[in-house]
Amino acid sequence: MVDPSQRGTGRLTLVPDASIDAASASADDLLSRAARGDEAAFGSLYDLTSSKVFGLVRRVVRDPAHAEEVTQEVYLQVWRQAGRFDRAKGSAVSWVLTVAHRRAVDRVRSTQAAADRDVRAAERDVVPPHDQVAETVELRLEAERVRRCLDGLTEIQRESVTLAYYQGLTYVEVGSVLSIPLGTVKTRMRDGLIRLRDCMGVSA
Amino acid sequence: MNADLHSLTGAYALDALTSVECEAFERHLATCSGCRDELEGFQLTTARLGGAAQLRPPTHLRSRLMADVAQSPQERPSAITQLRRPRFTSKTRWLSIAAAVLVVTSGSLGVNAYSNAQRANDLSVTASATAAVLNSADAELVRGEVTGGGSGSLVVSRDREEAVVFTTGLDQPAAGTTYQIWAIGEQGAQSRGLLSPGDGGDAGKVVSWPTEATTFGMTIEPAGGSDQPTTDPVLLLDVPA
Repeated sequence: MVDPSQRGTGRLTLVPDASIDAASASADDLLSRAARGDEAAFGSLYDLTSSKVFGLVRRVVRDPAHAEEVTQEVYLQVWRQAGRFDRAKGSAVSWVLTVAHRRAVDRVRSTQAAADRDVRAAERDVVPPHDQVAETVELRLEAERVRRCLDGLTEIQRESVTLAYYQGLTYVEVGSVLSIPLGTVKTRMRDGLIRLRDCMGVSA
Repeated sequence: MNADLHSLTGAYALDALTSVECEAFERHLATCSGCRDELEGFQLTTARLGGAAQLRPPTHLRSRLMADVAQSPQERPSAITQLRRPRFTSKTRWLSIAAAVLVVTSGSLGVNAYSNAQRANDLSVTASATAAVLNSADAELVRGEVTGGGSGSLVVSRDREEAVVFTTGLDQPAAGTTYQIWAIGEQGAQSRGLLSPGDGGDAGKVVSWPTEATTFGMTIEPAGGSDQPTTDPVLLLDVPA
């Protein structure tokens, strides 16, 4: 699963993705300019990040019309609150995706009964739907890296993280779907993310 | 309690907390730099999870968005730097009021389980936030018995739009349930957070109090809390206007 030659540093680190670093550097600039009212910079930020945002939102909310509405709300919030972005504390791409995920989850929770989402959760489709399969080599590689890191989790860690992140379940719902105690769900979410973070070579 | 809140970093980064716990965790986050550091790493990690499945949005979305952006004012950055809570230094008045409140909340129990030294220590932790409410000139106290045992008191300052909840003698809620407290007014019931039997003790639990709220309520809800009350209240207190 993981190349044994990469062991030994105490941390499993996959090859850093240079193109992502370059893109996020300029996204930081664009968001900082947008915070000062620069609409053109905001438009470029949209061009740079909207496939990620729409892909994530669509995956969580499923319904294409809802996904468009939520994406629109996400970018309006990013525009209004751009002044809150602190470059010292993270990347613009990460900030925008954090806003996007929160909004997508809010939409799912307000429009779908929990029971409905339990059914979806039971399907456990960790694999992206067909129309979202990456079309470029670049994206396929990134998707493959993420998948390898997910494969490195224990089953409960992986399901806790993916049911919450991709299906928008609360930890209470995750506990009920997986039939494990709530305290265990919280712990598995945290140690699962720690393992993913180290596998992805993320440094805050 | 802090160890418990620390363990929520993962669930918070995954947006898997209920809205009530989310607020509680964000308050904790403001005072816990270790949690903030961990959260930054987690958010970069979830961004990689989120960014891996890309899908180009329809082109009409961009033009609609840019038209909206041209009409939308931006938040002024200064608005977010005013989150700091005022600090109060005069503990004497608050301690005497707290003592009075304790007599009231302990009611016929009379005897307090804590030694004075221990209580003073506990009090100092949340003293400044609680004192701010108790010290306000318009503070009002209401009190009532809790169905199932124990009692609860509320000190409200409408000027500060804050209230402090004190409880005593509450039973542990049944497994899988929790106490949840509410501010109730014309807008309906708004959650003021979850409450464990230990929370509202000597030091009190400070909550924001909307000006239109006229009633304080406490219910027993499924673990994690509810968006709206789902059971009959075990405590209802009319709050003076």
